Amino acid sequence: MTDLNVRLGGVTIVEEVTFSLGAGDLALLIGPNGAGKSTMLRALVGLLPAGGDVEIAGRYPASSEARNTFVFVPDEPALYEDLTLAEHARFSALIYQRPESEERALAWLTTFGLASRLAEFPGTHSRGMRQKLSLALALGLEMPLTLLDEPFNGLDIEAQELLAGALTQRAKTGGAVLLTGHQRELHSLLDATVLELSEGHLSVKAPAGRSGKR
Amino acid sequence: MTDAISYLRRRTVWRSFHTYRVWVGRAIGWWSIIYLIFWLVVFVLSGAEMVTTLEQPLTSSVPFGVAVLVALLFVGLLVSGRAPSVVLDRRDLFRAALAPSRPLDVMRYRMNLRRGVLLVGAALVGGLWSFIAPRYFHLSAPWAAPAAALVALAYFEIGWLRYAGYRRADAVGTAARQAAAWLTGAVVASTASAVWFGTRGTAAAAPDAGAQLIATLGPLAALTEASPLVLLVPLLLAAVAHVAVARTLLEQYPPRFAAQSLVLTQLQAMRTFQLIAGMAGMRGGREADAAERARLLAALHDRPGATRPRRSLKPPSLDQPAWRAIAWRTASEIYRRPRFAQVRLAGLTISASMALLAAAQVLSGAPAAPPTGAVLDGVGAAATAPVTFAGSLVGALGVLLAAFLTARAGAGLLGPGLARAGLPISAADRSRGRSLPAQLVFAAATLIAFPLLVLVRSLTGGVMADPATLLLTVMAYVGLLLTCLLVLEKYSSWSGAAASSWEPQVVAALLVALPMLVLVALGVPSWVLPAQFLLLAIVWIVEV
Repeated sequence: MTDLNVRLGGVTIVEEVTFSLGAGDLALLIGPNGAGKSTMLRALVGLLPAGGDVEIAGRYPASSEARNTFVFVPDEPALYEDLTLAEHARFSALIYQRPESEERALAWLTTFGLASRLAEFPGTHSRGMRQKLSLALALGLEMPLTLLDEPFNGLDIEAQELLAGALTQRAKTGGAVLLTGHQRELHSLLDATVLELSEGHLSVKAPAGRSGKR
Repeated sequence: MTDAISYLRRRTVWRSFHTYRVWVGRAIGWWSIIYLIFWLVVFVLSGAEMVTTLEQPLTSSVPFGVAVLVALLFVGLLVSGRAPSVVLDRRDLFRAALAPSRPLDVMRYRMNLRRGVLLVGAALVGGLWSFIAPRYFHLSAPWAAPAAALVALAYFEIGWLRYAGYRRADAVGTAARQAAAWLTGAVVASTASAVWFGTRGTAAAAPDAGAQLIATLGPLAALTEASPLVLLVPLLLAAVAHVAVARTLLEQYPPRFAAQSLVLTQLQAMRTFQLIAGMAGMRGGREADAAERARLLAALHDRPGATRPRRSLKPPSLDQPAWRAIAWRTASEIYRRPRFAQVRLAGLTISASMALLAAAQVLSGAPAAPPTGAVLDGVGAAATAPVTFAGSLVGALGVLLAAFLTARAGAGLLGPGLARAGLPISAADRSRGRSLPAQLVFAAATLIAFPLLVLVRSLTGGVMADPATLLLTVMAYVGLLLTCLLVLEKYSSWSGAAASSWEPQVVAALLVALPMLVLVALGVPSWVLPAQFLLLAIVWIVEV
């Protein structure tokens, strides 16, 4: 990503941001509320129009080739109220054409303690349970690039630790992970490169695990 | 990927349909619906039987005029295309559109829904034409329904092509723009030639075969011609446009489609909420929603105003009392509304001021003129009254109507409600702060309304109050206005009903007109004005 610019209604939200993420990288994008973390992620996946050169796997993010390489988890779970949890796993596997991901997503749901709820609609579930479903679908896919916007929001302590372990493992097995969040809560969980977004500009900090704050 | 979308739609659409079916059955009842359908059919059939064939046909230029109008609608598409006609909701955007699925597959269901509605609507209109054309125009138009449906379909498809190519430099965008231009050109050219030869053919005693053929090749030639050939051009237009639309969605979505979808779904939700509020008898705070709607529209088109206000009022300094802050809050909300909403409200306020001035004349017992037009309907009747007539029921009803109009305007000027619980402010401060901007706007409106009323009076041969009663009229006006605004504010705050709903407005109007209604009935109209001031004092003192 080179010189990413995002302007909304004539106001610059993200300005000339440049960074790259390779296989095995785990990056944590931090910044104060309103810094533009979610906006940057949405621009990155093509949900918002942006200036500059953005490429995922060497392709324009909105192209189908690029979409075949990443999965994005928004800050608010986007779920179908009339699909059950198990049906979400099936649909996700079908639309990404990764049949094996259904079993993995179901396994993650079991790990998150939702095994007995697979036949239920997510509309009846709490914010944290919906977030777990959203994450289980993304983790099950095991895409080369995983993008997560505030994934720890609403999760209980156990689920937070599970998620941190899963993301670390994903990076160790060759996947790239970029997530947003607040530094204080995540330093103790992740060994990630910290990118700080402030007033539209990005700066790279030392990896959290090496900063001695764990 | 198509399997995934089919899987999704099979389950979600079917379940939604099932839920809706159950809801309709429980909320309305299927027997009630069958009963309604039965009577609908009866009314349609009896209505159809009443349509008889005219001995002299109506002018034959009507169908040609319709064809030209439709062609102009197509031309209008060339200057549109900033926003999509079909959007995806948030779930489809994040779950399906970001996945490696073909945009065409994801969009198909929602596009087909829109196409279906258009097809049915246009076919009904075309069918109606097929029915009335032989009777009113002595024309046979058996193909009007399918032709109209196909033209509507082409209109929808070209609209999408314009959107897909809007300010887009890549090959897909260029192709979409060109396709839209060519198809619109084809519509205009074929309409022009068909209308030209059609009108000539109508005028000529024996039209030649070539002209007749060209006349059947317009998009809406089915309005005047009975040949099945009339379907050829609409079919071609719809088919070509449909294929061109599919080509725009093979690989990527239009650049701003996702962002605009997110905004448009919020706007739709707002509209749905207002509709439900309207069905529940509330206006749904439409005035207060106007600013948020304007912000969303700015976000839709990426204009300034999407993230920060374009207009601001200077806040009061920190040493000012609380009611000034409330007044500033209310005034800011009014000031930030879209210009159109402000102009509409200004018009309503001036009308209300004129009506209230006329009502004040009645109260002060001033002689006046005959009824003065739409604004003063009712009130005008009251204002016609000579001094002795001021105490009549007509006068009281005029005051009631003027008070209601004032309450309507006042509701738009009170701004958002303010829940006092938890705030260290008195009810008097809240009422004072919320109603102050309305009082100021009404004061300004009076400066326009008064000369307007004088003008209207002079045009209708009446006179305004003489100097002797002018002071009384002004006092009565101020009394009526303050009473109306305070009752509206206090009642809406006390009851929890939004000032924009009917209930507080009706209560305010009734209470303002109460002295006149009661004292006239008791035969003591001369007590009306003092009683009005007494009422204002009571309303002022009561803290709720």
